[in-house]
Amino acid sequence: MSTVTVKIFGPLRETVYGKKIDKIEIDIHEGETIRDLLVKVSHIFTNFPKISFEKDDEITKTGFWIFINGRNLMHLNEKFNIKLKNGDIISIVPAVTGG
Amino acid sequence: MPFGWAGNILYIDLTKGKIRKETIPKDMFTKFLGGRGVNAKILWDMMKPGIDSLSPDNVLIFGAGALTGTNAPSSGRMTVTFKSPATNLYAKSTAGGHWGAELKFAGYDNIVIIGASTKPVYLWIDDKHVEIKDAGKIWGKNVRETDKMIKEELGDEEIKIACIGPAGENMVKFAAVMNSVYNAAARCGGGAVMGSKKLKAIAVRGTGTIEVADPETFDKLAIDARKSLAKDSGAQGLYLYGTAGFVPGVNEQYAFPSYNFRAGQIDGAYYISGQYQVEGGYLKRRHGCFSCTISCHRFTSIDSGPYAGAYAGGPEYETTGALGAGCGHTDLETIIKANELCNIYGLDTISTGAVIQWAMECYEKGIITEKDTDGLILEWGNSDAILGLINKIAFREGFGNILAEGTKKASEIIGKDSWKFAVQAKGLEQSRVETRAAKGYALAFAVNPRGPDHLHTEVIAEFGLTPEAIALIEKITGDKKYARPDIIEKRAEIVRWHEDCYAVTDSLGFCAFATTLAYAVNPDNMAKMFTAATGIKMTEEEIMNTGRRIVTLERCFNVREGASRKDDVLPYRLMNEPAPAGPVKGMMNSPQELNKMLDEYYSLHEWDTESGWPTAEVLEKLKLKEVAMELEQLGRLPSKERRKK
Repeated sequence: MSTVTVKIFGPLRETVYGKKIDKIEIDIHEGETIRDLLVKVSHIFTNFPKISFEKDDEITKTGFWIFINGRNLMHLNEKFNIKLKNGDIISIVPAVTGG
Repeated sequence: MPFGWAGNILYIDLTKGKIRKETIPKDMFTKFLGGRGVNAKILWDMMKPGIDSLSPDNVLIFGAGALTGTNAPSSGRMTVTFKSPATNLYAKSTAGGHWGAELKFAGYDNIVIIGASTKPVYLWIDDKHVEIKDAGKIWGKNVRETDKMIKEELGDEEIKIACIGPAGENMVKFAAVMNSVYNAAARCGGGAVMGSKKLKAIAVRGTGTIEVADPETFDKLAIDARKSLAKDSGAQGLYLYGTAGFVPGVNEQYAFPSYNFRAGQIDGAYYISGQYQVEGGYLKRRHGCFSCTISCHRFTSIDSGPYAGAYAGGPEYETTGALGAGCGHTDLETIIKANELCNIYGLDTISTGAVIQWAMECYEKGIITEKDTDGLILEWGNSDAILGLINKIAFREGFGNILAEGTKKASEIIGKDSWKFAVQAKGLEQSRVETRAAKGYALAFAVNPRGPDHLHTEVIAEFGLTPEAIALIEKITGDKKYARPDIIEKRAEIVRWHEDCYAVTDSLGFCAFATTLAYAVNPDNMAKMFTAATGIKMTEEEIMNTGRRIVTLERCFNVREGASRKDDVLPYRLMNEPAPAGPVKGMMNSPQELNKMLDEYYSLHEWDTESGWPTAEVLEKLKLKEVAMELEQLGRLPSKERRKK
């Protein structure tokens, strides 16, 4: 079992339990991807978009900036299919763009 | 009267107390556009090399943009140009607000100030009536008080005032020229130059108009640009959260300089972001400059707690970094209070924060103690220390007198190895950009004639954060794969495009947020708006070439002052100490890397790669022959032809 840290910002911080948190540690299985993680995270945080996360352009339309260990996901080849490793830090920042 | 421009320059000789108005020769406009461009040419023509920046020999020039005063979107900016007392090199500093438009409506494009008064004075421009007035009652007053008292004395709330506070009067090397609650031409010490001339303020009231040559075409272009701006994702973000809205994203990329550039990330950065300004109830109003719909300005205030009652325009991203993360804390109330003090004293927040965090590192290393700091405990994040030092700096009291010299000079005074962590180059403190993680910025900062600063060549597009930014990188380089900041390839091309665009932006009076952060105003529609406004035809290529001419002239000013390739460096820390964490852990802006980018940059510009000096050939091409002649007499004009022989 491995663990990654998800850092979260702005209105996304509100959880379904009513509490606001800045970061959370999530257990992952071997082979799980960023896409899988987003599905997990969307069930914890109230203001996450209610989408399936299966289609890449659906995810980018949400306007999030997603960084993995400080790198912009959109600059990496595998993007949402990147396999997570123990200790990875994933930051989900609502883009400073859009309404 | 010409179209677009007001057509007049005011010359003020403060030594003789004389005022002269002249019409601007047409080729000044066609070659240098206006604002920053015309200012630069006037500075070149009137300044002797080697003068003391705080002597009456310095020339201080204010310029409104060629299109300032029209309804072109986000076109209200003004430029202040001078020889910097911090760097002893070329300085231009810009500000938004409404002062530039008011100057145009009064009938002037530029104001040139020479000499120095023996007593404090202020300039009053009331349409055609121009007067040098006694400033005895307002000398010593802070910016807020000055603004209020001048308006009361002259009996008009609509007057627009550019002024200095105590910091400028005390010739703090990073004193700002302030303009309303929201705007500062802050960098490089223009406020100190005003203070050295005993010029407290320039008050302007203009009731005239600006005419355009082809109103129908111009209006359509302006409206289309406005509509594009409304749709631009960068512009929308700026409205919502201001420049500090970038803090969380930049911090997550380990690119938010903290602890005097020792780290690129600080815990809790969200709590000093533009988003938190809203969430925490500190943001009370969003505000825009003349003709701007982006409205990135913030008005923040504190309702309770130890700093209850503090209010100011801002804080901006840079201020948040300089007076917050850079000083080792994430307390927004401290930042708002510190920002207020800088605004009312008239201090550049970037340099103020930089010199304070340098002092904190000196204290941590035991190079200075409480004995040196008048009892202040300069521990990282100590709010009392930050606010206490701002007060001392503005009035040059005690330890503040050393800090008021800027980090370069202060580190020479304090000695030991403190120069190694004075994060400055050319004498100017670096803007809050982690250049070890942003190579385009690294190159842009190294070659910027005023020092390592972003408001000259804002290459934020290299981060590829918006679809518009990625499209621009693809346009410049041919491939969107270059829209990433961690590589050195194509940085010279990216920097050059931005330099030229920024020079055009400043000279026409546009805001760089509309042209290099949002991209709705671009060289193509700027050329079209220029043509429709002035009646002088310019294509996109021609207007960018004019930008190139302005950038090259600014370079030549520094060459004349003795600068060369050896001055195109970044601060010691960034060139020699590796980034501590994140995707660029272990990387530096190494000399090897910088040299490679400089070689490409100079080649692209057709400058001599050994000296970094513009060649005779390129100055001829840019129709700067008289500049070439003067440099040749100084033995500073390389020539490709001569090298071949």
